Amino acid sequence: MSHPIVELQDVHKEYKQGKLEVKAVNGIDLTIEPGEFTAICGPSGSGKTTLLNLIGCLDTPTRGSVHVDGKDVSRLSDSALADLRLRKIGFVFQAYNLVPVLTAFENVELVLALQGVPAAERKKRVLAILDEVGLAELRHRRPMDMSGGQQQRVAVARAVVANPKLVLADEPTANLDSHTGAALLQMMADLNREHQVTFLFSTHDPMVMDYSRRIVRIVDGKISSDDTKAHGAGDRIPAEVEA
Amino acid sequence: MLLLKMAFRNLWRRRFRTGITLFAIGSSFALLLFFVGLTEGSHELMIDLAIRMQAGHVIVQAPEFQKERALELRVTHPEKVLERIGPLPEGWVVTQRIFTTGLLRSADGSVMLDNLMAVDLENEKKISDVPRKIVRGAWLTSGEPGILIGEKAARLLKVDVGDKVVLSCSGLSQKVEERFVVAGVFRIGGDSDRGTAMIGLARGQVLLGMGGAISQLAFFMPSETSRDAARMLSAKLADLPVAVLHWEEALPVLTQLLWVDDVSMQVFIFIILGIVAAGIMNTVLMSVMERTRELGILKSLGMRPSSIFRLIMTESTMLGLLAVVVGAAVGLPLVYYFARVGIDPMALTGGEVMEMEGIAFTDRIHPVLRWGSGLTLSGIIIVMTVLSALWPAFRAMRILPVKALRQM
Repeated sequence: MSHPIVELQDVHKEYKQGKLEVKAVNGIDLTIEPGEFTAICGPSGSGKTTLLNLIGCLDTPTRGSVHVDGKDVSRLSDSALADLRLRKIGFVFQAYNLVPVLTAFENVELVLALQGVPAAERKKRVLAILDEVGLAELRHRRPMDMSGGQQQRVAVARAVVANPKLVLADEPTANLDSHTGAALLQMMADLNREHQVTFLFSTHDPMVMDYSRRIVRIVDGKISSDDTKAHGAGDRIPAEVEA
Repeated sequence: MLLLKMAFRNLWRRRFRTGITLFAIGSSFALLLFFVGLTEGSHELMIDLAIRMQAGHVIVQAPEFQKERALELRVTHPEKVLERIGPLPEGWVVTQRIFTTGLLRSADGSVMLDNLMAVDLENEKKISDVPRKIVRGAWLTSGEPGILIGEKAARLLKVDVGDKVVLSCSGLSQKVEERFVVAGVFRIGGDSDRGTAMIGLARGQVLLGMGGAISQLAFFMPSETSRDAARMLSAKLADLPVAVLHWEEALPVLTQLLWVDDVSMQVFIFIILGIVAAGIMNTVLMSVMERTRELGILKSLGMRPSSIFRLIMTESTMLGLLAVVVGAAVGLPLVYYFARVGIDPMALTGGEVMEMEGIAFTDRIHPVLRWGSGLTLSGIIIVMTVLSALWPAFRAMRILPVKALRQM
């Protein structure tokens, strides 16, 4: 029987900003099932990035429990958390965040190398995923020699190459024009459909919400609505745009 | 492999900064190679000269002679000592000497000799520094009542080669006096040119009433075997009334000076390395702080803290290795060049002649760099570079991804 990829129970995250105590996340219960394509949205400061950081094991809750792939992450050491992130979670950041000294190929390869995948297999898998995101030709380029859209596609390839259970994408389209953003979302929707990769976005971009099948709205650290659609935009639009 | 690639490329992200750091470490290494080479070269020269003029690699003499250089404290039967030792190993030379003091007079003046030596003419010629430093005349020949004197003594006595001088000294039982012909004048530098004189051993033994006795048997051999040789001779001569001394015991002032010089060099190395280490730490720390966000990303992707630590340490190890290559590329030719042409010791002492234990050091110093010293210095530079990066690497390891990601 499959269990949820993410399970949050009464999660709180408080931190101090000067003398003020800020409740960034204030009692959230959330479950993400395998294969979901979900957007967490809300205005700036609503707590969506903090929530994503908690789910991504980059931060620990003040109260409550966070289970990722059935594991209670609040009890894990730094190294165990790193291992969990490496094997279960892929990240796509707003600012691409590729390693500048590595080529597109090496950036994608890095995660597999950290997992200890043999070189020959790494090469095969990296070439396959770069081909899938349409960047096989640019694999020897370094980030500074690629456009924002191309860099973000490398970031997506890096996030999914190791077949993680979950890909967390924090404002992935924020730095892209709408045309490039749509192409990127379509690519992620295809990966979700074809490889059953679970995507969880943090966004206030309406286009991301349009592509998502489930939209969780957060206001002041609390879930204000949780809506599910039968289809996302990516389910019905064939790949028609190129970055 | 990817980690190595990343580390190497990270090193060259700030070429100018890395270049300056490489220059600082590399030039310090080159400087250390040169100074260590110079120190070793000058030590070798000092030891060589002192051994040739005042002792041997190993000496055999009367037990109390080291404390008081008196004629009475003698080896009465040197032939028995040699017989006990047996055939000398290949590459060994042994010479016999009498040391005493005396007064040299001419018609125009007198000179006190604080180092009058009666020497085995044939063997002393093989090892002594005097034959090649004779500026007028020639080395003594047996049967001739000749004396070798220093240039200053010759000037004071107003004599030259072929002139007669009178040597007065205390023999074993009475005061003695004898006329000698100046056979040669040497210039070895410093006070030795006034107070040192040499006559033949056979003549000296007769003059001083020593019979077949001598003050010292001096053995010369390849220097690296001298300690073993001293042990071997001690064992063979254990039941004879003689003392066997390694040159380090025979020349305590020189040994002490070399030790002080070594310690000074170590302090110098320590200071240079300390300054360089502070520079490296600053460079690596800056490089870590500039990359806080990137290191946070790597941690987010699942790179373990230990791998982050390894990445930074690999970068600094590469920096150290490169610095050693750069330093060796500059330092080794420098040492090689000066090893060939030599350095005038007076250039190092501001024109003063350096003297010790009655020996003047006037020969050019040729830096000597041994593999062991070069490799040890290389190792120290690399270890120091790595140690300097420890703290920045610990900081990098403890970067919190959630905080790092907030940085622009």
